[in-house]
Amino acid sequence: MRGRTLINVTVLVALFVAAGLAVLGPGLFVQNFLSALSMGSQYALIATGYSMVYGIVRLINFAHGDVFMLGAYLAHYLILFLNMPWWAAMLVSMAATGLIGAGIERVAYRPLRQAPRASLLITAIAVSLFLENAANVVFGARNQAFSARSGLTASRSFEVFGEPVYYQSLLFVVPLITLVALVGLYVFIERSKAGAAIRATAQDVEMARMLGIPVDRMIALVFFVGSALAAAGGVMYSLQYVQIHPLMGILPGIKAFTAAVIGGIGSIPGAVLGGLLLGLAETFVVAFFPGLTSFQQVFAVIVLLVILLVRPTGIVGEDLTEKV
Amino acid sequence: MSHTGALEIKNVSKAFGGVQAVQDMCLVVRPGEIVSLIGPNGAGKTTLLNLISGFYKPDSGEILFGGKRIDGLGPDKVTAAGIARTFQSLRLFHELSVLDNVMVAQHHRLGVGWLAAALGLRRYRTRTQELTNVALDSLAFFGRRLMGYRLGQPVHVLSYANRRRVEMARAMSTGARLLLLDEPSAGMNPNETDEIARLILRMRDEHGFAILVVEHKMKLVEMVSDRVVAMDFGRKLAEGSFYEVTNDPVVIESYLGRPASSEGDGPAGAGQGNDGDDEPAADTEGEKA
Amino acid sequence: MRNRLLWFISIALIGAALLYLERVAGGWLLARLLSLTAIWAVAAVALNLTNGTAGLPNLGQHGFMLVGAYVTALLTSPKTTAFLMAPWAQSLNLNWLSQSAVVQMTVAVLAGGLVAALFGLAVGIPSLRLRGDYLAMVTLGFGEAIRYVSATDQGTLLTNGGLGIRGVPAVFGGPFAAYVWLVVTLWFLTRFTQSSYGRALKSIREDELAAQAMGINIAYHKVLAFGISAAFAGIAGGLYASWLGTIDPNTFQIFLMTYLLVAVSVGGAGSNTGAVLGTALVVLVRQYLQPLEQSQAPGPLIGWAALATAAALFLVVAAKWRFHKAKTANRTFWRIGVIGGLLAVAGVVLVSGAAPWPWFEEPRSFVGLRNLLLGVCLLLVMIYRPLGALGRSEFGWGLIFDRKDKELSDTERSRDAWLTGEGAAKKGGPEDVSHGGA
Repeated sequence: MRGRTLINVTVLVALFVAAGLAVLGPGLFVQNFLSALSMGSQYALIATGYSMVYGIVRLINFAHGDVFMLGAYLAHYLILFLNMPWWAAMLVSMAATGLIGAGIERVAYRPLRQAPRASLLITAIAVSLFLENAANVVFGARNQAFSARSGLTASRSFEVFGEPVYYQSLLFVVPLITLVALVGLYVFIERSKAGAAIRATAQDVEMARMLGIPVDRMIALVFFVGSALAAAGGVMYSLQYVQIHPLMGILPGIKAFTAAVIGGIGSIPGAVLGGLLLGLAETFVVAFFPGLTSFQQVFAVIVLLVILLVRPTGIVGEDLTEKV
Repeated sequence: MSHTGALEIKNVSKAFGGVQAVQDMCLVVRPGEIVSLIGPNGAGKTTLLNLISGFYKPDSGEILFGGKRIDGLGPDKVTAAGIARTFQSLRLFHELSVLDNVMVAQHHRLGVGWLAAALGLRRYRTRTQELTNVALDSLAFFGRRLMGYRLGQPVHVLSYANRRRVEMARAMSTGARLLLLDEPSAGMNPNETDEIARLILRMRDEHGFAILVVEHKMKLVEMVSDRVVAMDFGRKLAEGSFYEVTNDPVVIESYLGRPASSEGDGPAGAGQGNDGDDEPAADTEGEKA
Repeated sequence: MRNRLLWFISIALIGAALLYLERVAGGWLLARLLSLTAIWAVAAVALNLTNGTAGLPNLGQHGFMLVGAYVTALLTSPKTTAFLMAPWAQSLNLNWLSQSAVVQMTVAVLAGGLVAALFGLAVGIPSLRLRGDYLAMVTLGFGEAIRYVSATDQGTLLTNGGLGIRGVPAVFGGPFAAYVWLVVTLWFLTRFTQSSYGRALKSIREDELAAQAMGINIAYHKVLAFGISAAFAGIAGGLYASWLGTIDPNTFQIFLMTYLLVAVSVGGAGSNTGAVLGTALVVLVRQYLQPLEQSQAPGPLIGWAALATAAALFLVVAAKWRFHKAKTANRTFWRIGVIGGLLAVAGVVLVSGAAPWPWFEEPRSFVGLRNLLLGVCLLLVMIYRPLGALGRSEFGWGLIFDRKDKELSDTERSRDAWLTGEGAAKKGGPEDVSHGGA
């Protein structure tokens, strides 16, 4: 079974590369690929947060996209007022946003642990509303330019088969940082004691509690890590797109959710895979069919719908059916 | 030879993952019959009920009701075909009133479209009146304990035994000819169990239902059954009268293992009042289980 | 009979008052607020059908409103500024049907509802396979997607894109007209919810599998719920277009959905009365708290907010103390007390202008404060009273005029005991041990 899948996948990839080279030419293909990789990495980071939280409390954190936005803003102000280099601001912002994420869990979600799902859903929406408008009030509702000054966005080029490829260093940096973060996450989840505790809690909360695992603290930790990753995504997104505003997290949030679903909600490798796939799909659909450019933003929604209809468990995910 | 209006299960099998829950099961329930299905926990009885009522699709075999195939139809279509069930763990509509719970069971027989219903046209009002009378009849079957002011109370305030009764009234109101009762006396004390047994007999005698009962309490099985079928490991072990089946050594072994003992639960222990086979009851609210 | 009479009289009275208001003072703020409340209430009550009665989390109501609004606008606006619109779209109008503005508008609004219903069916069909959170996300995605699509190059051919459509006649923008539509909506939806179909939806909400076992076709009913809800949302959208006069995709941003959600959740999930009251609350907050968002020095504002929160906390503590049995202060009381005290001190400092930092003095804008408060309100409701203020109960004349029958009378209680065997004459009680359970 596994072998067969591998062959199918390889064939698909080969077809894709061939089509890309043929239609776009090597230069554009590589350019789009880099762009897709970068975008996909950002989605992967945010999607990982979704999946982690879902894995441990079976909640889709609607406010996750707004946490992404907070991460961007915090870094923005750190750079603005304290003149930090962007990477330092990112790290500090990750920590701070992580704390905020854990705080949100404590204040808004923990009291409703036992509540019906509908209430949790609306609570998450309320938190989202709160965060967006708190940002409106505190940061101002207008667009601002992200204050990082880095050499990363300068346009450079190299050549591939005689065709120029235009890129920004950022496009390499983003996947790199994402890789580092995800490797760190992997080591943490799979190899550390806290990680094992988290995995246990995700599988069976009651049992974990009975074994003495501080379940509340583990959940807070998951929210911390997930929010920190989202913050990293937010910073990198802002480096690339420069314009930040309080509602910037809504659409990336939906897209990252789509990515998490593609990979199978609750699965971290699935989230990463889903993020990359979505990035690729988004970029290349427009590359192949330029007439659809204005639909690029809603592409994710369409994919979400299709996935949920066709294969709701995603590529790697869990069984969602109810037992009689 | 066709059994008109009968339930026929022909060589039905169902597996989940690696576990064969039901294997080559054959069973017939004729109109007006009361058949009991017994077997230790995990024998496949509830799975069989789920197969009949349409929640699962058999891997192989056929299920016929009144000569028509019903296997693979969804639960709503099975009910429309004339088979209704109760659940091992009660599945009432908690926030709806007693009367509403029973009226829901009649919705599929309404025969009036949503627009006509919303506008309150006469044919809707007439039909609703008819169906309400049917619902009241079903509830009155259980005496006055579900009538009067009880009709408007949400079911979650009812005692456990009353909730079980509402669930049975609900199944009776669907217009079904065959009832599947999944452990109807679970969590009830011996007196209540006796009452349930008498009610089951009355259901058949007064309303003509055919009934398939899954039960653990042998006293009840003895009181109501025309025929008893014993299952284990998804297969039929024995079929016949109560005494034939409960004295069948294979059946006794399925409950007790070897060698057969004369104490404790199961068929050989019938009459000694030990109800250890009951599943843990839902909140019994002051009544002794 | 008495109830019917009471309803008829009260509806007529309110209608007469609103008609007077519309004729005499149509432009008054009050008139505008009342009609907006009624219009949004139509969408909120429709939202109740899916979210409250059927238990289907629908977060795309603003998308259905958009559809209805644009259909209505396309059919009734003279479209004089529709530069981006395709010519065939520009020429859409209802002059061939009738010259009366009211008739045209009615048809246009209903048409908006019809098209929105089709979208509702389309959204409803995938909903069949999706559980709560996923359904919410998909409907939300729909709401956002339809807005983006209407601004795309292809969509702009129909919608005039970011320029919007102007000149929608204000026929139904007044309080009386909007009120009439609301009454019709409430009448229809209440009857629907109380009918067998409403009951079927509630049973699906309570236990979908059991509902199936009772013969209910889940797919049909879920799609029906979406279709009807979307239809009325579309009607609300058309009315909204009339109220505004001009619409563009940004009119239907996600905030509109959150207002409706707050209205329904705070007012009462599954209660139409609650939905209307909740809408009124949202409209009032949005209107009368507007001064809060003006440019002002943050110091006094934060100070007053701190004082208000402190006062609220003290009230809560006082209320709990009064009803608390033990009469000894436990840790929660102390914590609340300390927090309240700190807030009060901070509040006084800030309000009196004694805070040294200049940031507190410079005026700045506070846009978004109203929505922030709504968000906090929703959060508090979800934590402390998840079913909303009215829960699932509706207003009925019986509440005022009937005897309170909530307590069982003694006769009833003893009769109940005898019937069910509870109480002293309990069967299956201790006496039965002697039978040996045989």
